[in-house]
Amino acid sequence: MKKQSIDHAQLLVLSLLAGEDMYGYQIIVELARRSDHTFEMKEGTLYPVLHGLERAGAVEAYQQEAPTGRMRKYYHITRKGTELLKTEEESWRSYSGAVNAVLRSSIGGLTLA
Amino acid sequence: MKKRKQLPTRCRRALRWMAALMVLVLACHQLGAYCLTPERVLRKLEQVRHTGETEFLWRDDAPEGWDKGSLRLSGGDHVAILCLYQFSWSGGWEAGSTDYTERRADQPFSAAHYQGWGRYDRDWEKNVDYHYVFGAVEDPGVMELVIFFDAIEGGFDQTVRLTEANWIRNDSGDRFFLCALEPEVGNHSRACSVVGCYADGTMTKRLQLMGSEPRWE
Amino acid sequence: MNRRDYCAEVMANLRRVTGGERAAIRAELEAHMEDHMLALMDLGYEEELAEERMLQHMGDPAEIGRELDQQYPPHWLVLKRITIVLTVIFILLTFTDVAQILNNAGDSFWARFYPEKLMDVHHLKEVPEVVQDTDIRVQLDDVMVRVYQVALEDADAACRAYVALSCWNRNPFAEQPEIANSYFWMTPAPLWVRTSSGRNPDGGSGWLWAFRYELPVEYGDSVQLTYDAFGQTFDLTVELPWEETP
Repeated sequence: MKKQSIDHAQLLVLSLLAGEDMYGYQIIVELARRSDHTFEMKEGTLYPVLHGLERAGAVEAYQQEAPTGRMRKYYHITRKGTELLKTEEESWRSYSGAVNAVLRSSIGGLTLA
Repeated sequence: MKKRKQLPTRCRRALRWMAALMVLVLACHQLGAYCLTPERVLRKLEQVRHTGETEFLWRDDAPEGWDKGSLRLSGGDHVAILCLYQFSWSGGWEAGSTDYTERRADQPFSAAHYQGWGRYDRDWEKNVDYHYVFGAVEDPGVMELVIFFDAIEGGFDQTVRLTEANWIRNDSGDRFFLCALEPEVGNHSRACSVVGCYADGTMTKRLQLMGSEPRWE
Repeated sequence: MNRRDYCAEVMANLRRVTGGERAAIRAELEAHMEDHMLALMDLGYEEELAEERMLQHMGDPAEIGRELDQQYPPHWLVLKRITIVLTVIFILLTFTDVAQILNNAGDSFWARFYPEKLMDVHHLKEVPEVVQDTDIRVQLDDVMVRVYQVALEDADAACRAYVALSCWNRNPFAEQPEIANSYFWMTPAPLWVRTSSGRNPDGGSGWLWAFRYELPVEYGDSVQLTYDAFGQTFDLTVELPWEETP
């Protein structure tokens, strides 16, 4: 099994950004909403994740005026980020598929027993 | 659509500065303000005297005691140029002492005398000078050149014969030459001339190289 | 703890960031906290309670500061600063040479389009009686030589004549060719200037791009300009603006 090049938090953030550009608080809200509050990270910890992705070239940032008039920092997934996301998604699917397969066979064994 | 302001990363900022420096250096090279190559310096030398394009034919390190540099002979259809090219980080490649000789088809050969800086030899307590004679042979009948260095005051006389083995040829087959005379010690006054020799033993006129301009005798 | 203290605690753990980066991180965190507080206040929370609730969700500020600091390794910043220093040094080293080349290009422009008129030259020995614009051009590869003005101190007798030359390279940043002024400044001179009665210039002014020759002339003389150097030649006869009969 291939070693994961990004962690789960980065994977989740990238998949959110694949849909649209977002700012920090928006990412937190969307993550909670789409995961039905399964994933609720400590909000401050989002920023090391975002800045790490930016440093790796997976996302780029820009400033734009918010409706309130304040300048907001938005994040946009780059082509490199999209490639990385695709690769990690495929790895995750094959990993979770393998885990599920093992679990199904164990549960089946237990049931027989 | 609202205006966006890109926020570059540290990597991108650094790369932008590096690109800007490279563009600046290349622009200065192109302008001739900071030459990255001796070839660029040569282009400037050609423009100043409007000689037409030349190419490097010979090079050697500057003699001992001179400022560090590269002595190079370049030749074209109408000129031979001998120049000391020097590099410094503060100025790039620059031309030091330079001499031109015009090639003329109506002359058997062209020649010029070149003398760069001398050095003071502490052991002999005298100046040591380095002399060069360079040029091109025009007349295909000229088989040999004889260079006469007459040490009028101090130093010693020298006579050098240049033959087929000494010619420096360019792609067109033109014959150029460069003769590095033996270093002269304590020479204060001199005369230098060149004569061409044909296969049948006859000689061309003598070209006196010293003085305000070369003259045929 | 309030928002300000929270931010201060995060900032205290950022050691590798620049002033600008620090301000940007602070602004981003403050914007995030403000957004969350506003969302809570929309749900009916009082401001103080909203702040307290929001800070509970933010996480340990010291740890966040440390983790953020890890995302700013120094190498790109150091490289950028070194590059800036090298750029400044390079500009200082080449400034005078670049200024010289730009000045040269300016001179080339003036020589090409607005060469100095003879009447504007203050140190002429006498004010010429007749000044005539001419436009005699010769192309030497990428260099153009032009006789743009002639003048006579006395149009019907032996006197002093003036011939004004300019030359320019098609490339305005090229080195100035030693042509227009070369009669006086070079040995052997590639440019010969002489009158039809065989007399040579005895004065002149100008520089490489434009030069004005002063010659003693007999009535009816013309001026011959002959150039022969490095495979380029030209032979020009410049007529002077004599009166029909002396």
